[in-house]
Amino acid sequence: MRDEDKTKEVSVKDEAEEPWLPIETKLVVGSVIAGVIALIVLATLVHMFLLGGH
Amino acid sequence: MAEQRRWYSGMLSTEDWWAVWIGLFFVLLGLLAAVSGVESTGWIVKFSKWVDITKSFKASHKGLLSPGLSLILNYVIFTLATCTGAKFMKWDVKKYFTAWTIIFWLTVIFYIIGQNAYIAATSLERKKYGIDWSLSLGGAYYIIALFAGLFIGNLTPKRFRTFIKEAAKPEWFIKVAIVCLGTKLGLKAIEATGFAMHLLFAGCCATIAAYLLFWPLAYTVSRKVFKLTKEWSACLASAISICGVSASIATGGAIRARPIVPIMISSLVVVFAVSELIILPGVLTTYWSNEPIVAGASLGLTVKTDGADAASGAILDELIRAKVAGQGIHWDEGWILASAIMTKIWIDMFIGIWAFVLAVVWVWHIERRPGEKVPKSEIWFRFPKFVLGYFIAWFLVMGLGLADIIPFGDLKFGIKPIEGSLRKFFFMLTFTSIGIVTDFRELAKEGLGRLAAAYGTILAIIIIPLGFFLAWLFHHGMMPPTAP
Repeated sequence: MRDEDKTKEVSVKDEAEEPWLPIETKLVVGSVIAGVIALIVLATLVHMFLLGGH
Repeated sequence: MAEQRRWYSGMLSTEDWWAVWIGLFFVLLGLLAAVSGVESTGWIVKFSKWVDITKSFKASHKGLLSPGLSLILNYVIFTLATCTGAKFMKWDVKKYFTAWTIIFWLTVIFYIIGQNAYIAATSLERKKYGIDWSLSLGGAYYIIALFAGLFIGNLTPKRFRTFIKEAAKPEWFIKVAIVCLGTKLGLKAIEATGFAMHLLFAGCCATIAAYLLFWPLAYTVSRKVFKLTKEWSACLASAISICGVSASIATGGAIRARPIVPIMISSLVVVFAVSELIILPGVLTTYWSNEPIVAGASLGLTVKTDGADAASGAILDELIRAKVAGQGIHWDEGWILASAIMTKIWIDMFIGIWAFVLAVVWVWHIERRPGEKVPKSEIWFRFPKFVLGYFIAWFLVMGLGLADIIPFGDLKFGIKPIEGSLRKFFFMLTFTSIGIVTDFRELAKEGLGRLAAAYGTILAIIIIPLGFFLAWLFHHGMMPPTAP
């Protein structure tokens, strides 16, 4: 990407705002859904098989 | 790019691999001692609490060497080991050697000061040292090394700071220490296999849930609230959610960010991690000493450099055990630290996977490079190799002990100086080095204020609360085994 920029020292404040893309929504929502599912499933398994023993 | 690399690329040229080689070299010395009875690890210097300074350090195996000779031998062997690594990594060995020598001896001084009985002895130990008061600051030596390092890194002349940084390698030193820590877990697992395995699986589960939630939330806040670009947001989210500097750099590579992006974010990671290192162990000891494993795991989920995580875990281990010792509870040393390291190590392992996911998303959807493929081997190249050393050390020692190939007593004889004295000394080197490389002036750089605000906000409102909750959810009720 933007090879001409690779060595350019830029600060955050110089950057123009970029529009939010649909793929970002997919990435974020997909990850959150996977995270919530993992949370519920793994927490249940850990409680059933591990923490009960302590 | 990855296509031109072989699976063994970097084995002799990266810090990560050299942590494995040096760590496993010491582990093998320990096993040699265990098998043959040869004193191949007895020379390792052990620092102890003292009132009489002549008793502040000695060789690990009693009577093997005089304290002074043991210390000098440590300097020689550690210097040879790290200079060999430096040579292969094509560092300036002359500069490294000089700076290393200063860091080594400063670290020795900080260690000795911090072990003074008036500073470190617990209330129960005062009688043993013939003193009637002490600060009971177990682990104070870590803090002394850290603050002295911070002084050097921020307040000494620039020329000296630049020079000393040649050998201030906290990530390298801590990775060596973590490989050696694997042997400790191996020994402990022989005595408490069930608990070690529970810790391993609970840590893995907590980490999977954590990073899947941390990353998207951090990314969204960066993009929507702080209006950062995709490039900055992706690197920032990875740094704060996964594994700090390594994740930021891995993500930068995966999405082909400009080099300045992960570099600027990495400087923030280090500064915030050191702040967490100073604040969190004390807070957790005050409020969560009744849930020591939860407290340890919460550090692994929230402190974003390996060095600061292990360091804060070591302090927490000392502080909590010192606190409960006053109530007559004596937990075995190292389990709280192990819980902090365990979650962090799982997070480290996900760097490769997440960098791969982001590379695919960026190539296929955001930058749309037609025809470009992201090889699966990218996962291997992003994988933190020192983790291999940690698991090899752990399972090797545990396997040899459980299968009774080497009797437990012999294993302990050989391995104890590695998992104890040597590991702690590398922890100390890490603390000194973290301080030296942490430059608080970085925060004043143009544009970094907004990044720092984003990082601090996400850390405070997402990572720490959610990390604490997940640590509690997956570890509550787990207690370290009692000290033998």
